[in-house]
Amino acid sequence: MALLQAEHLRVSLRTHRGSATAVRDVSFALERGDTLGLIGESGCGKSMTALALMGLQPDNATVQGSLRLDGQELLGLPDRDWRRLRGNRIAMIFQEPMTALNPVHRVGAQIAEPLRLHRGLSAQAARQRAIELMARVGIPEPARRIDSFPHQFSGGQRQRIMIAMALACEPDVLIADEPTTALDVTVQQQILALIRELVAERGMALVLISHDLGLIAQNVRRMLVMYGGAVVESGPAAELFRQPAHPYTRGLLAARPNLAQRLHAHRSDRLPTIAGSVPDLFGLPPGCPFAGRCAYTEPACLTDPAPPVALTASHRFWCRRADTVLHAPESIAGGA
Amino acid sequence: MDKRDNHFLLETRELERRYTLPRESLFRTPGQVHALRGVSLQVTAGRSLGIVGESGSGKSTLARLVMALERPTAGQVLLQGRDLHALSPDELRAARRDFQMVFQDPYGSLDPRRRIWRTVAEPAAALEGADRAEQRERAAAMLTAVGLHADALDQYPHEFSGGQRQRIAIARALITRPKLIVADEAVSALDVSVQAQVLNLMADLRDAHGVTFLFISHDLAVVAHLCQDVAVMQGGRVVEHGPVRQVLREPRHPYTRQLLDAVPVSALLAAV
Repeated sequence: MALLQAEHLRVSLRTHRGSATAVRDVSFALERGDTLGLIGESGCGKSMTALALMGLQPDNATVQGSLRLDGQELLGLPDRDWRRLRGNRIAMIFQEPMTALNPVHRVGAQIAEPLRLHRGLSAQAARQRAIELMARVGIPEPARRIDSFPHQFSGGQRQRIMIAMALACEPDVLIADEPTTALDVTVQQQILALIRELVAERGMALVLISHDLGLIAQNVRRMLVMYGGAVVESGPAAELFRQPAHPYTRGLLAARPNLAQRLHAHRSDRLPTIAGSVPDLFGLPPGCPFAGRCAYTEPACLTDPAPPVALTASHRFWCRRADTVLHAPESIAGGA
Repeated sequence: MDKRDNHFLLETRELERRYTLPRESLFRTPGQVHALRGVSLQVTAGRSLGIVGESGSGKSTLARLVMALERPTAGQVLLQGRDLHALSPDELRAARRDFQMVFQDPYGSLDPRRRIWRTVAEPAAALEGADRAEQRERAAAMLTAVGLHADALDQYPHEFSGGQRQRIAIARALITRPKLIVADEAVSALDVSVQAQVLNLMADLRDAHGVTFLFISHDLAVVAHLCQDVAVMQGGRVVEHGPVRQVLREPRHPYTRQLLDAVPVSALLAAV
């Protein structure tokens, strides 16, 4: 039995413009120690997937399918039961530490809160544990800084405090939604190294969400590429970067300016772009979400769901025209 | 000296900028932040300069001084040999035709209640007194140049995606045919595929209209893509400056090496 298993997860939103499907049929399984990356551009459904995993989807959303933690179905649980899981067995590191931390409470109290709630620790014990956690995430002089307010920390330190909060109850699943987007490059590396280390140390499962290809490549073993709410390709990260198969994945990898190519070879100034723009969730074709933007589109792509195509035991992509696509010249970024 | 001045499109000489912090006590002198500590840079026409460094390194302060949005504490900014901060307000307004800015956030930098043509044509109206018909005509030409349809003229910002808005911001910066465009993290907030479109547009403008960019970014790959030269800033100083390939292939300063090490490996390995 997998630690966390999502099957045909589907999130629909009711809005004044009608109903839109933000996440369509996302399935994956996570074991302890697994690291999974979700990658895609704005509006592809990656953050909505993360919120659904935490039971934090917006009020106008309906989640269908199945989500099981150690075999227990989570969808449809009353909020009371969700509250017992959140911050305890499933924890999340949010994108913007300045808005995710409460500015009028001291950081020590915020780190201690889940320990008091879920573990029933005394104020004294929770405070002691908060100091240890702050030390573990690399805040200097934790015993003195524990009574500081969030604004008295730098952006990187605030993100460390968020990590300490998320880790307080030693969750089984850690979800990190763009954890370093707001940080400097060098600080980014430190924060990700810390997350990697802690995930390995405690045998947690990690779901890392990002639009940054490099960051995903470096920090997860498996990844899902999302577009228009659906997974278009999944597999081991290294394999997916070496041999991207789906036309969208190929386009995404090729569109990124490449430092090595730039420095060591004469390359043209033009980056390959993906024609068109990300479609509105309301205007998605019923078939493959990428149909229409894709150079290989045939009429059936628009109307029928794309079938999964297995490249190896673990590397799959969803495409009706797999034969043609796979025989097309490799994209530059994937270049063999 | 004169000959040297004519040679550079933009030159900063020993630029310094200090900010005074709010007073903590009535009896103590307020603290100061030394945002720039003597920055001397030269930008030759046709060679775009990338500025890299972490937040707090002084990149954005430098941009504000170059745009004459703030006065330096000491030092000079020379645009085509003329000291911007020594110009009279009228002369400075006139000089603004030659240098324009594109900001980071395409959502915050366009007025949501104005039709696109007004936003795009505003510099032409303000600096060159173009009339309404001329403004619309030039705005349409610029929108076409950045790959948008002329239909956009009468639309509002909320009708466009992030990448389209950034194109509109660039069209606005281009309308006076500037020689220099200062772009402060102008593609950082964009998705990868949109970023590629905007970078391609900037490269086209550089080649077709002879625009030179002062391109501020934390992303080395993007800077290497668009710029010929790079300056690495740390703590208000330029610690390394030179042709982009040379600096990034053989970094001399430990901080440049640290920045390069922070680039995710895939960006380096994908070339194999």
